[in-house]
Amino acid sequence: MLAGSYVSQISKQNIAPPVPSLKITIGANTSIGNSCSLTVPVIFDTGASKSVVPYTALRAICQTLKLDGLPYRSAIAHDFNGGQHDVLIYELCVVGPASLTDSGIVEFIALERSFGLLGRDILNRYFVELNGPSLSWRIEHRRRSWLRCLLASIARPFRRMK
Amino acid sequence: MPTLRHAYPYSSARDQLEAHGQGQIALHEQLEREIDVCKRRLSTSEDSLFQRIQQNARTFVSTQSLIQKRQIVPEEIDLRKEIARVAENYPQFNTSHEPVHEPQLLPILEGEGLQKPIPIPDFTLLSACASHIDPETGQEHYRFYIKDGLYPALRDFLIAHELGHWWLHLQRGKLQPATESFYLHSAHEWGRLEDQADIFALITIFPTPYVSWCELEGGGTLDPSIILQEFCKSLHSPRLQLQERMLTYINKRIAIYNRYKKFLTLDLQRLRLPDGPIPPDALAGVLALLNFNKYCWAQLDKNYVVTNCSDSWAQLYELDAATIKKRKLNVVTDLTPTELQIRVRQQLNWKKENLRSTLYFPHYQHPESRQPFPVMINAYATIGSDGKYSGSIGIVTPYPATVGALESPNLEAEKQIKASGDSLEMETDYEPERSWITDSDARKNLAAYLQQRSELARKYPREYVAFVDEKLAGHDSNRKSLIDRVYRELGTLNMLIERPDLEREVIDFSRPECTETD
Repeated sequence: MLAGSYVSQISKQNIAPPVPSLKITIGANTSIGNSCSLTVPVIFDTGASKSVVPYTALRAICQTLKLDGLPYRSAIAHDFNGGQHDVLIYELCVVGPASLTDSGIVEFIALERSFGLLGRDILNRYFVELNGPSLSWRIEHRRRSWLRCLLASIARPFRRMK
Repeated sequence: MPTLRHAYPYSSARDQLEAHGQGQIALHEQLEREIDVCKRRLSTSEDSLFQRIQQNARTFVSTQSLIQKRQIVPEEIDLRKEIARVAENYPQFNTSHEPVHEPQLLPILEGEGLQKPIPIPDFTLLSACASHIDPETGQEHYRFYIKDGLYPALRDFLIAHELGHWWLHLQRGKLQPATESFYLHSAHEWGRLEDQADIFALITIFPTPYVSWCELEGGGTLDPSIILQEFCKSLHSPRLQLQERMLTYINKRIAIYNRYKKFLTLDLQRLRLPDGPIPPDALAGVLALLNFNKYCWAQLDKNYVVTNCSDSWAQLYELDAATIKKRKLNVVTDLTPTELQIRVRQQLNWKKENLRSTLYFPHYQHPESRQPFPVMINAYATIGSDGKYSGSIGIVTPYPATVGALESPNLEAEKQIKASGDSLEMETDYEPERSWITDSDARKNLAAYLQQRSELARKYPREYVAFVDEKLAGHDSNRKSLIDRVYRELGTLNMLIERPDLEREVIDFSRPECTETD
């Protein structure tokens, strides 16, 4: 289980009201055999379908690995105002904290901002509890047993009939 | 002996060598071969030849260091103004709906007092512009030289390229050599001038109205291979290597056109007109907005008859708006020259079917005098209460739009246009919509890929492609092995990996995707 609290400041930036935030360690494995990891602050964002990593973190990783850049692909991002923007997506892996490492290789959007976003692509893999009144959060990775899975699949048609 | 002013070989030679993966070794081998040829041709000893090479190298290094120290800087060239100036002098320039070939370029050469390009057999350069002094009059004359036996389409490009140098760099002594040996030894280092001449040439042989027509014919996309095919339609197919180089240039032209289009619509963007059809309840508001901003506009019904227009639009025909409405002029049959009527009708039909906004460059003609004049139209489809096409609204700018854009009432757009670079049609980093990609190399790489995406999807279905330095670096059905291979071959570069046959992913930062559930 992973737990933390809401914060009012991330990367020297004041945020009000407080947001659930944590620090994740991302790593890059390159085809040339080197690897490198870096810790970045992120906030929970259920409105983002994909997680976001600050460009500065990517640059730092590339600098450490002495690379001109990591391979990327592109996508179109829609913002709140309905605007469309080209974005670049990098494959990175979450290497810390330990509870999130089974996310494996995750596609991150690189944006010029001071902290990252933990989007639904990662959040939806876990049980996430946001406790607003006490300004704390909890992430739990509960695996369902095969018996629970079986029962759930049997129960589904009955639920539809209702 | 004429003084060589400019030559066009360097990038071509470099690209060819790179394409063969030869790099510096091949250059060295080629140099040795050249020395052998020179020895035989000049009947000179190897020592004296090396002395001459050394002397030339010293001159080259000294002129190069002069450039680096910025002691010699050519006069800043405003490509936008220069193109407008050519259009002013030659009304046929950049207004054609067909690609331009040598016969159409010759009148411009003649008008400039330049002779027909002189073919030189076994010329080591593809083309050159040289000046020489007439011994009798003491006047300086320029001549274009072209390697004999070249593929005609390449010849067309080279003439237009040299014409670009003439207009942009040589005419009226805009570029004066600081030293006698300056151009002879360092012309190839003037990459920026070469780029400017290339842009001029591409605009000359693929005029903007023609490219816009190709875009409409392609259903809103531009396919470089179709443009190439049309450019070479009466010729035998070019060699594969030349074909690839021509495609690269056509892609560049498409990129220039797309940027130009963005600039042209910059002023209209603030009106936030829809890309789709204008519904009936929004129509009055849109027309009021256009009038308030003093746009020149006309409204057509579904049979392309002008039903309403601004006073400025009526003035194009030396009439007033009331008379135009009364006369029920048909924009195709009454206001378009006969030779363009089929195309204009097709353009209007395309809008009717797709209900999407279009930008096109037809010619209007005066209903009485039949005098044609080029215009640029941003057209928006309108729909009735039944949701069906009811007509269109066209916002008209006299063309060449370079002049029109400057006369635009929106000062902010004008400032942005001016701030964006030398030319409206020149490649710049400016993008009207805020980009979320801050790495300029990655942005350029992506732009190059997007230009070629449809072609790549056809060529490499179900395969990944790698783009490095705005060029295709490889393709493979396995993503990882492609990345490994490109890393191995090219090193750790800025690498875009995409599957062109798949739709681009859309990421939402505003709301979770809503789907129907049972």
